[in-house]
Amino acid sequence: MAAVPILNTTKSSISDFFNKIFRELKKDPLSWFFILSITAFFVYFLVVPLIIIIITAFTTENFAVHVRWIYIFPTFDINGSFTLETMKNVLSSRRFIQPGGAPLDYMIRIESQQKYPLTGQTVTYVYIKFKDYGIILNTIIVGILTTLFSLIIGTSIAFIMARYKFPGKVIFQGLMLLPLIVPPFVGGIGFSVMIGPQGLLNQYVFSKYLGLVIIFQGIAGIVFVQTLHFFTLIYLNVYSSLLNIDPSLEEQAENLGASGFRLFRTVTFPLAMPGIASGSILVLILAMEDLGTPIVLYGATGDNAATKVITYEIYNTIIAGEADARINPQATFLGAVLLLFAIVGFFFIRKYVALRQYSMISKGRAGNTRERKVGVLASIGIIAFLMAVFLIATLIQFGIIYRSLVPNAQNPQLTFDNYKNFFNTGAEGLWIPLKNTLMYSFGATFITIILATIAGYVANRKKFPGQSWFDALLTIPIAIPGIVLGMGYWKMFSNSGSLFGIDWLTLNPLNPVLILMISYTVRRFPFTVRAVYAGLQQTDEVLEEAAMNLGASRYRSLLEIVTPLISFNIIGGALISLVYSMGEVSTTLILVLDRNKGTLTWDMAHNTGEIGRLCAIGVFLMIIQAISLFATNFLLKNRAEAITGI
Amino acid sequence: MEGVRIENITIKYDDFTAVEGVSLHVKPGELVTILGPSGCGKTTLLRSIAGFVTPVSGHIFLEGKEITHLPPQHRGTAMIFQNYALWPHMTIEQNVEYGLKLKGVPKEVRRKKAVEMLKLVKMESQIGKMPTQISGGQQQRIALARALAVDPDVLLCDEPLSNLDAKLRVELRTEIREISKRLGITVIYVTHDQSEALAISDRIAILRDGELQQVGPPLEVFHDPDNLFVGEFIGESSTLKGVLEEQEGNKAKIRIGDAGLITAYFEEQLEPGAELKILIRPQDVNVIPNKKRADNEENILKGIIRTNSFMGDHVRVNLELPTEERLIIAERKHIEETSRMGVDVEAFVQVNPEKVLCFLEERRIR
Amino acid sequence: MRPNKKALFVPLVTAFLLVLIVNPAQGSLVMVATPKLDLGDPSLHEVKLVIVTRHERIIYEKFIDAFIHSQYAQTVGITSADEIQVFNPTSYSIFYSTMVNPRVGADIAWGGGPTLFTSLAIDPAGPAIGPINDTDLLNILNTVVNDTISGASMKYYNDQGQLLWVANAISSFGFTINKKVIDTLGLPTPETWEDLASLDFFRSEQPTVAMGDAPQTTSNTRIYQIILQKYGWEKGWEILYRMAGNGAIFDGSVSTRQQVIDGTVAAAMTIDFYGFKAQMENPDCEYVIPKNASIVNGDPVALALNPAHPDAANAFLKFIFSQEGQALWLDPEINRLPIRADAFNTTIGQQREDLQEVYIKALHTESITFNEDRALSLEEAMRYHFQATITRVHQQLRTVWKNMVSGYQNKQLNDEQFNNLLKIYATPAITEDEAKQINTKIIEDLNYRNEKQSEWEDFKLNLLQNITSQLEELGVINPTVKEVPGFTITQAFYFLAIIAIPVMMRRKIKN
Repeated sequence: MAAVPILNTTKSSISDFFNKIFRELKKDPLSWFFILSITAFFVYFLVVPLIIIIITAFTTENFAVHVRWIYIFPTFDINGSFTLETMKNVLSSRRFIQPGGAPLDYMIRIESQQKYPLTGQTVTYVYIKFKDYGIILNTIIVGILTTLFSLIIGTSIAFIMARYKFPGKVIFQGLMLLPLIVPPFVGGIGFSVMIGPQGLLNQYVFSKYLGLVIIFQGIAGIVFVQTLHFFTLIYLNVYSSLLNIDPSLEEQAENLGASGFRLFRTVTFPLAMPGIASGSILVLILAMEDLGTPIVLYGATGDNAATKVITYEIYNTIIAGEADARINPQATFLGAVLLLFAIVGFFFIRKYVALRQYSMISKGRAGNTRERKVGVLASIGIIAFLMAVFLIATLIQFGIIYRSLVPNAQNPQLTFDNYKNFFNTGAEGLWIPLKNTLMYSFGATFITIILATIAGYVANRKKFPGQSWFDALLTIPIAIPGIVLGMGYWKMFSNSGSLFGIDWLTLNPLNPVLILMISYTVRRFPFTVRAVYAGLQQTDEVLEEAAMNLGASRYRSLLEIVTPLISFNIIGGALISLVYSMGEVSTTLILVLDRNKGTLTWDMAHNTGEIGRLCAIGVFLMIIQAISLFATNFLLKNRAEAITGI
Repeated sequence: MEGVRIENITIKYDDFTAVEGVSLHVKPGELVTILGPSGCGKTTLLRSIAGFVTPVSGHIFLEGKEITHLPPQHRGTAMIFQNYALWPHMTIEQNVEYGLKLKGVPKEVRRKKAVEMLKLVKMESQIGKMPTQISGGQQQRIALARALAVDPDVLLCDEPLSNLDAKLRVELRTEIREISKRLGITVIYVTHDQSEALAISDRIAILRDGELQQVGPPLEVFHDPDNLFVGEFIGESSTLKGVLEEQEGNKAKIRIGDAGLITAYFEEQLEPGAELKILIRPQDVNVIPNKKRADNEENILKGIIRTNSFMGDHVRVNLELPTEERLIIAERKHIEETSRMGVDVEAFVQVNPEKVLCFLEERRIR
Repeated sequence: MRPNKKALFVPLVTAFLLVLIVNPAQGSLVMVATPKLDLGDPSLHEVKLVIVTRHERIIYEKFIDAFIHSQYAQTVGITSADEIQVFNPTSYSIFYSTMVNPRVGADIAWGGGPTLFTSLAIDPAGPAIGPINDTDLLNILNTVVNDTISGASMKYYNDQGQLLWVANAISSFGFTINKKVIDTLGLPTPETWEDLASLDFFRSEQPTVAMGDAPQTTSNTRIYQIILQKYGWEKGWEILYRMAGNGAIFDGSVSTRQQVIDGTVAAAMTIDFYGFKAQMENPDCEYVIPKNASIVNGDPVALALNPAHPDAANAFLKFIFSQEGQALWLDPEINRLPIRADAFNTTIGQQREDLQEVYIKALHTESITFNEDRALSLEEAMRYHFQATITRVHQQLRTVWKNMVSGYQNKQLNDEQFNNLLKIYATPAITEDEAKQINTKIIEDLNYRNEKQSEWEDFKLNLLQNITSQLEELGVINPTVKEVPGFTITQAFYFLAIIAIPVMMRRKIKN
């Protein structure tokens, strides 16, 4: 009769379990409410849409997954059955995977004795293009190459800045942040303005002095543009890593005889590895998710080869097709592939970020830098190198500013029309998109501040089972490709019943405002949350205990004690979220169908041919980004984490 | 008024047991100190009374009401912390009146009370300042005022003076006691500094590895420890190994190896040959300057002086016994002679048998 | 700083609220978030007319503004633009669903081209537009709108003979040239499509023709349909392939137009009003209607199947077919051709002699006979075929074309050889009949579409490879070209392996 005792114990342990849960809930109901509601928010607006995409990628019918809302519970009606057809088709198609490279393709093509139209000179055209290996392979290659080059440039600069002292260093520290200020699309435009076939460099420098016209095509163009922007991310990460290495670790090694390159290789580099690794993976993910660059390289220069990446392919099949608004199953499969890369990358980032902590043993000494003064020759070399990088990187920004004022290459004329357009409330004007941009971004930031502060607090202060997953949920959006999320929202909210019985969440007809704000909130959440974390780490928990002790509930203490103390962090994080929201591209392009609801970036995407207009918007976004960058530098001491969001 | 009743509290962190089966009754108006070495669980115990930690089993009652599972804000306790925990973004009077603000006390009333409290801790001259503008000792006074402002049922002090220098510590500990006595507030005080505990407590509860060793007034725990740990923890002492040679009634003769034979008094009857541990405090031993006198006395131990330090009002001698154990003596009578003896010389010391504490393993033999 | 933080909050929150509340009529958050104010329900202003349009904002705004000030609006009690709700869908399916959505309560469909409107009329899920019944209106339409202009239909009737859509404005199709670029490159001034496709219009240093990717632009699609019908399927595709070889493909009609304005190409496919716009933006540009190779398109307007406000709808229609209404098309910010000739007699009209010129040209252009049904029967197949065999392989297309043309121009190929290669180059992947057969499936079945496009793309690449090998065999090498072919992924792999393995071995040995 062994059954009886077992039954008794299971019964009591089950009731114990429930008692424990009830007690836990009763003790701190507000925390649990927050945890559950924020989790629910992310489940609806992050997890579910992505699951839909993944399911669709492996289902037969076009309308495979139909979301039916029973009050607040999504149910998925799945027509059609599980299939690997789409996957097989994609993976076996030469369009997507072509290890041998596309036929009749080249890496570099040199055509001599051409007449350069802009100057009438006889020049040699050099087309630098990476071979087309198929859309999926291309995307991976773009990621790897961009990361590689960004790594080389970014790490060298970081090392120089962290370890050497030379005149003008402070100026460069500020300057090195400028390449971060490249809003979407603008990179591609600036690139074509400076280095396009009719670019300023070709027109005034290369053709004149070198007798060459250099044209970057396809993948090469994308990698070039991305590197110039992303190297700063790596630079920030590695720089902060290097600064945070406990100097005594290096000193000990030196003491034992290691020096110079050996020291770097055996001690410094491994200790900085977590920062290097996390920065690189982030760049890898972001490079593969970039939608703006292919769109604008194609629109501005007609370079079709630049569209052979996953993001553009998805975008094209969804939006640009005039005939329908269904989602091509190939697109969903590609989306699932991209998503896979991103999520895997994300978890690697987390692992390395956690590792970062080990090299910062005694925080007290972290402020002591091991800077070394360098001789005159070395100083000159360093300054030259930095100037070169800086100039090339900011070529893009110069180009954009220039083109916003002198839009026509054929008839160069200074005009402020593109800026006056901001006040034009008419159909061609930018007032409506500007207003929409501000409205959506501010709305989203407002929501983000409240949710992120609570979420960050709960994730950081309260111990509960699944805390680490909760934290992952809050920060994973940074890695989720916007275009995949956009597809997910599309499938989830259009053609399906309405959530909560209210229409404003559906895309029918054409009213995406609220869902756009939610998408911005979700996608930019990690920045604010990370800033809140940083603030909370600096705030001793004892201050809250003292308040609770005297009668404040946990959330009253959060409001009256903690929030004022981390207000700078919250504002800094919110500012970053705000600015990035203003430049959001992917979900905006997918969800906004009505010109009247479009944002500035939407406008840019639909007017890729109008360079002056694009550049003016770009300049505006750049100014906003610059202001926010310097404001957050001031508000948040720890740049890398907040700005990059990891 | 019932004070604080802690019944059989056990607290665990995952698999680690921080506090095991501790029971304690703090009477109203009493100042009880929980004393013990680092990591003994005293802070954990205090935090469970405050509500920051939940015990796995056991109950805590405050003024008759069970508070074991109540959240901190509903308990009626007030705590002062080791690092003061003043809110840097509020002025000191805002800090003090915060608790009253939470209770919904109107502004003028709570401001009045705050000023009153600040006067009590002698900080009314600092009104208007921010916590970052005052010293550590001053901050702790503010913290005290803040805690007292809400008329708590019990004041909990978590090593409040550990971050202050020695002189301030002495000054403030007395003030804490005085103020709490004046207001008649029950106080539970945690510290690892036994002189602090001895100085201000009505009773001391000694904790070791989460278990309660002994509770009693300072004199009692000093002179009458229940076990060897308490005996060694409180005050200075030397522990020697001895063997019981004979016992007649309550008089026992104990041999300390080749060092000598000493007498101790205890009621419990033991078998000769029992291995005992003998605790002797430095002030209960005297150095006998000349050997001749020594031969005629009882309770003499001999050894070699290894260190001999003049401390002003006494000489501190470290005597190495033939058993290789060390005996510490604080010689107040024959200061000059002892001092002159120097080191590495043989010396004789006399132990006061009435002050000798005997232990069988850990347990005190009475 | 601390005590002042509250001061920061107030202006921030105020600013936020201001941004929200400004311009309630244009769909601010306040209006959106309260379901009561949502579509079809009584709102801040009662909605008295709902228009679904593909016209640009500038157009409908001006028309609506003029309408509410006209007697037509007064007769139905519309006095404010807030009483008219406009939807601006960007794709056919959304247009359709908006028209049939009862919550929208659409009255009028306006602008989008005959293909769109005919599709709305014959959509398998049911027509989205309904017959015009108002007798006054029908009389007006009979008087001022011809059934055809230059052979193109300006009206469409259903099987019962009821009028479903009427052209409200007309357009022609052609290309816009940039005279300065033509000069600089020393090109002959093109007059027709074949000129754009000719070898004389080829320059290796710069693409000379801008074409829009068919699935991304309805106007360029129409142009390609014109070419295919004028020259026939085979020759038509040859012209398209040659133009593509001469030029470059862009992602929409706007960027296509922009290229010629910017001078990055010499000519761009444009519908007439884009051409006018180009002219206005850059005086070097000029819109050209190809001789004997254009059509006049009517841009229709129609009533919804069950209009919610039939009187107001008819009033609006009467307005836009009135003389003053029609004259609005000539507004310098709109630049389109009206359907009523007498629009040019109004004050605005008289100032637009340039447009009148084009109007007359368009009417008297010997247009081709364009078969709307024929076009519709294969349109989607044709567009995706274009994309697969031109857009997606453009880089290879142009490279091969470059090699062919330079070979020919360098006399390494004689006429016969060149023409043989040209035949291969210009072969489409499907015949016209095949296109018609698969058209419906291409529309409905996305998997099928993917498959076919894949097939066609491969087909084209094979042809191009064929040409390349033949060129090699003939020993045709372009002396000015050198290519670095690059490596395959497998080669890259081996290369990396060769480097990586010794490094790893070294580490193992060291340990």
